[in-house]
Amino acid sequence: MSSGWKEPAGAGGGGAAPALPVFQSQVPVELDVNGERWVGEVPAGLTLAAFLRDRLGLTGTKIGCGEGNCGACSVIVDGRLVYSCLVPVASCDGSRVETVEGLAQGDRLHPIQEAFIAEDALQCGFCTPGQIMAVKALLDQEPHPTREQVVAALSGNLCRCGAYLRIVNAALRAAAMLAEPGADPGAGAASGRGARGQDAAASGDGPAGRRGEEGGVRGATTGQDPV
Amino acid sequence: MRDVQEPGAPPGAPAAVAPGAPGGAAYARVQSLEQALRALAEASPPPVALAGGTDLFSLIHQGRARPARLMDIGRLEALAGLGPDAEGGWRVGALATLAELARPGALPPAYRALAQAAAASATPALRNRATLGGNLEQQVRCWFFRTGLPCLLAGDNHCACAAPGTAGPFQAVFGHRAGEPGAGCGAVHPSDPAVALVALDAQVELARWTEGGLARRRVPAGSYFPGRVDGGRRGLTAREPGELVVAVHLPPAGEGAWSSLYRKVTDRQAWQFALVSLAVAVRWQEWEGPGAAPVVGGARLVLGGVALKPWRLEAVEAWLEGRALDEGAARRAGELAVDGADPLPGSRFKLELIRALVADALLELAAERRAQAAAR
Amino acid sequence: MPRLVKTQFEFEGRVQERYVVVEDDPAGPLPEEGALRYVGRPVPRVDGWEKVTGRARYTHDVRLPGMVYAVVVRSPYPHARIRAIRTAGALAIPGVLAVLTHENCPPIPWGREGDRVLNPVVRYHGDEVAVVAARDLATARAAAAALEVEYEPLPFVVDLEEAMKPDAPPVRPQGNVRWDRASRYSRGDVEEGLRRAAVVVEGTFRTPVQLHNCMETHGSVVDWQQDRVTIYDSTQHLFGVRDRFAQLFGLPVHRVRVVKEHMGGGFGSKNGLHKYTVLAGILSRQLGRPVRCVLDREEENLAAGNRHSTLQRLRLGATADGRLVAIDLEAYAAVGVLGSAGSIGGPARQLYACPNVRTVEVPVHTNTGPASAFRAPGYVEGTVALEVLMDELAGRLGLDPIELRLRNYTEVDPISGRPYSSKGLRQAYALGAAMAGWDAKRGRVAAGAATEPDEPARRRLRGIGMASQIWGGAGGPPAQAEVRVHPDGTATVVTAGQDIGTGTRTVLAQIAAEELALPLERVRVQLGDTDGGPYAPISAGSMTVPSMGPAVRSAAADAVRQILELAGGLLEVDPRDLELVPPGRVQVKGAPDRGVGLAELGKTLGQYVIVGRGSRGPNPDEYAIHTFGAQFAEVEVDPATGEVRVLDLWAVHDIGRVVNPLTASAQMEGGMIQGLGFALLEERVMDPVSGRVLNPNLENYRVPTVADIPRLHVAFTGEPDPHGNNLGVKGAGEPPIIPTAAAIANAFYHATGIPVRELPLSRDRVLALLRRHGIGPDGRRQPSRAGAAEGGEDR
Repeated sequence: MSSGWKEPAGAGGGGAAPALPVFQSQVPVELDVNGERWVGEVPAGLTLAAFLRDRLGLTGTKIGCGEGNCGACSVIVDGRLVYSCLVPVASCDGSRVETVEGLAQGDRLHPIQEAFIAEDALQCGFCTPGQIMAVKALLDQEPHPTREQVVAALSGNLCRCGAYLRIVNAALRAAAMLAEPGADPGAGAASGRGARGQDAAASGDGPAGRRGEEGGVRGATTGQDPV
Repeated sequence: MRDVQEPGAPPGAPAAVAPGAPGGAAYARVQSLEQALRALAEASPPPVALAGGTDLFSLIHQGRARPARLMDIGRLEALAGLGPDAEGGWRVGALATLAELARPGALPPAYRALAQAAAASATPALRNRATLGGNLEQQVRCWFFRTGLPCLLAGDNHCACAAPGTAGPFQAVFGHRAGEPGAGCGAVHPSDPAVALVALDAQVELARWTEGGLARRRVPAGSYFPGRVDGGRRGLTAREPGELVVAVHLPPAGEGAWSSLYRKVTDRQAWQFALVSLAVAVRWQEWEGPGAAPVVGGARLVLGGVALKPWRLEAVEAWLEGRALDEGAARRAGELAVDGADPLPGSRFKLELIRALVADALLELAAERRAQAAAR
Repeated sequence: MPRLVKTQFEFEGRVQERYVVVEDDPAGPLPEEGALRYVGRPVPRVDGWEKVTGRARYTHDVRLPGMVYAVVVRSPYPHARIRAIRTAGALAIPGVLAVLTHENCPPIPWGREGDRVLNPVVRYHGDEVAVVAARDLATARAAAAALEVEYEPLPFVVDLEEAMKPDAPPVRPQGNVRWDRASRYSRGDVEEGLRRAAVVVEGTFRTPVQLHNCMETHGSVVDWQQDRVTIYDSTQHLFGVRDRFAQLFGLPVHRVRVVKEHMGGGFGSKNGLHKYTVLAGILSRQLGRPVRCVLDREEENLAAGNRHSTLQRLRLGATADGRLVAIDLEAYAAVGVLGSAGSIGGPARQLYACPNVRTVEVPVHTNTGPASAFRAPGYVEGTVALEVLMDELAGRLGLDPIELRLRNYTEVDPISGRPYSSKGLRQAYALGAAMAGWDAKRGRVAAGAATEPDEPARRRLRGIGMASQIWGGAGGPPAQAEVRVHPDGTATVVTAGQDIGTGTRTVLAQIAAEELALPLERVRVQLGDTDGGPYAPISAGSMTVPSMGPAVRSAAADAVRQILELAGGLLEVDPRDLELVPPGRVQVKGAPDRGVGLAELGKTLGQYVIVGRGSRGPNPDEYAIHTFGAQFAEVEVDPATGEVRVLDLWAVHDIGRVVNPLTASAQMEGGMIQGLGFALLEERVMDPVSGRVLNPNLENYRVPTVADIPRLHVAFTGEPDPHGNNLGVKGAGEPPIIPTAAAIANAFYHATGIPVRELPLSRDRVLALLRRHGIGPDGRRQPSRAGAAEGGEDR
């Protein structure tokens, strides 16, 4: 049923048995967190989420479940989105870690953050840092995503308040903003202080959105696209 | 609330918990495959291999694992890589992530079922970390096991999921009867890629440390998952305790000979293990011409979510061979697929899913065949 | 001058009489809509910046010097007597500071059944056994695992209907079916009504336990110092936590401060003081250090509250022309070991004009975690039964479902006989029907009708359904606010309420900026601290905006009155001849060039801060104030796989004046998504053998993901309520979740011809239903079994 073969130890065929690894309870680690170098020792099994929150005080990264089911702890490690609650920080030696705290430059928000505010893509805000990092990871890889790609990319980030469609719209809006710096495609509609109530109809729609049916509606309608 | 101690943990284990270290007391990153294998064979207490860590750290969180030593194999070159092998097939290193496998174009079209299975797994963030090797070695997602109820897989003397009167959700349909390997356990194997690998007739390459060297063997995917409940020490595969998965080998595709696909049924549209999934690989006979239904030369059909292992539908395969695949044949294949099924109370509805999935997937492949032939 | 009056107050379907303090309200009528600058506009959240940068501080994020971590040890058994707890092993672990058990815990009472905070008998999987405190979380967890507890398991029952059986194991000595705590209501003569009815439809309905799964789990940090206790708590009611904590510990309230800047969701589960706060308080006092006790996701799903499951027997009687003559509801709610039944009968009592109505709502104990409020408690469940049966009645009478509802429309509250202050339900029906394309889509044939010859071999069944919504949402007193106008012409709104994520800060800023004629960026809202301002009510029951909003407006108007008074002195003009106009300028009416800016006025006032005070006045006793709405759903059912896919949801609600269409629409969408989860996906699953919860996690308790969301369409009828309060607002929190599941169930009925009796519509249930009613995998009725498919029957 199974075939087997043997080969001598050591790539060079030297034959010497390799030394057993040395297991440490405190592990030396060097990291780049949001562009800042961190060098120190971490407990062997400490998760990246706990490290960011408790060691570095970067509490923007949230822990919603601790077992990789909700996405609140999403951060980017070496360009890839991960759930930091399932990643031992000891394994991240030499890695580049991006968290929500690293996006804004001073008081200037990243376009993704601006888009989240403009689309009202949050309510309680607890899942928001994770959602934003998921959008960031997507747009870093795919600057012009389709709506379907956005939905797929966000499918591991739960939002119990149900801001989903707005988050999708925010991602698409941010993509447009990043593609053409300085131009916010929907700025007039969604941030429209002083816009008439009726115009709120567009507020839920991103660049790829469409208007809902509005005949004779007071207040507002939103027509959200399928996802 | 529940504390599962790994064998060999130091005496007075609680005191050995490092402050702030829920995930294990000690860590080492190994430098070579040989070093890793020697540590597995000789180090005491034996380390637990860590690659993506997605299953391990959720097990730790759930109190189902408490490794004293974490051995990080995540950067071993010997386990990496994704590309053609010397035999004309394809080698997927054990550390290939599901995200890499799911990336369009990463695998030749003949292995589409594997790419689709990887893409259907978990979530983007999990696929970025989860490795193929770890995916094959993951524990069951059984609701009873994961919430700390008695389970053969955890070393208990019975499975709570099989207690009379319970109606465990989403359980096995095949392979759990007395006398079968999965007897007494209602759990199903959770992996999506494993299902595809069996359908693609892949082989799993394992390595271990023996006196003075490294020993490798290959196990066909079809026998890699014995579907056996083994007291929890060995997990769900043919891998021995001292072994590591090195790579998975996909057989030579042949010029357009086989086409494959993977389909998965869930309640939620994302982030759910399969209620039922299906991988199909099919080889067609010569095209009969416009209007004719394509004729099956050979087929492999494997179900996921229905047994403690990927469940091969050999009778359906045999029945399909040489048959023109029209609507009626596909429906009949769906009916045959549930022959011999013995659903537990919580899994009866899966029979309907199996019927529909088998028929729909076969028709989809047939339609593709038609379209390809028409284009030629 | 404050004076005391007696008024009626409605909260989540229950009416109470209470005294309220009434103050003069200086706020006049709001200008016409077109003249409003902020109220009614889609203003982005004023706290958006904090939330998108990760700087917003949640209870989870509170870190205090010397903070200790507490972990609760919970029962693995659904019912057991604790024989012994051995703490030595846990205490021997370095860094472990304390272990509290029922043996050494102060005897603090808990709930109304005679329990204490820690008890020698545990009554559900997840019940609190002990709490361990240590210098860090990992050590505390290790100590919790090292605690040796010896249990004597006791008989238990976890299922509602099992618990109702006479021989069921008693959850409490008082018995399981709490007739002594049943709510009964009756008007007219139901039996007579049923006798007179030309048509009677009836059904037995079952709804599941829904878990809140707020993204931020419950938790507190308690910092007990000699002269005061500070509690950081993820709560919907700062003052409720303060008062109850003070009461349990015998503290005067001025020594207890509760703080919550931001919270990651509540949905009713964070309405009051929870045990972990009390345990942290005991430990903090004992250890002299701040103590953090935050639940993990499993604990959250075991012990932090839930929407109770229900069993409802409902009968409707109607005349041949579709007038309801009898509504008879008997409802049982599995409240767990503690807790009360929601107003399951609310819709039956209130939604339709019907002379003869009888409802009884009975709490039933089960060995499961305590039920709590969950967004429109009772109304979601009750609306499912009532509105599903209304559609069956419409079918029996050959009436369009909306027509049947219109024939039973009422302009007066059927309970009190008082007219509604405003009711936009008729408009909601019409607008919703137009948006959804109701007439055309209702015309489609249901399953089982003759099929077209050219149809595909397997067809998906499509249907459209709708359901109505009624709920309170009047808001009311007490709610107080201050508006402080600073010397530079900026203002701070201070009220000790909470923004639970709904946008309260933003809405209050809009209201204050409108009244103060200031640009929005010159108004800041300070919430979330009981020491920081006057009383604001619980953020629940859709009452935040209609309670706090009018109070803020009054406070701002009071500040404006003082501004005009002071400016009159400076300008040497009678204040009655002055007006405040944007952007913060006082001027003489009719002579705009004579005036003074607020900042300039401030310079002459020195450092004097103008403080306007306001409070929410009582609701008018002569009107009944309610929110209304209608939702429509279009679904597609796959007869082969049991998949129910919602394609579109349309919502039209009457929540009075919409202060912020942006945040209000977002809230509507969120409610609809939770309602969709309730209809299709969400269900706590208990193991009847072990009595344990099988899915206390976000993997197997399935809240909808982004990929599960249909197209959503939201509209408001938008008319300000003319009688309720000085803003014309009603509440928005609960309404959007109320009719969603019922609308989806009715769409399923339209698609398949099968009336829904049980939620969620999971694949296993749907497949069983279809087959039992003779619909095969191809979507066609199987002739041999067509007889089973007659609608309206019970099962």
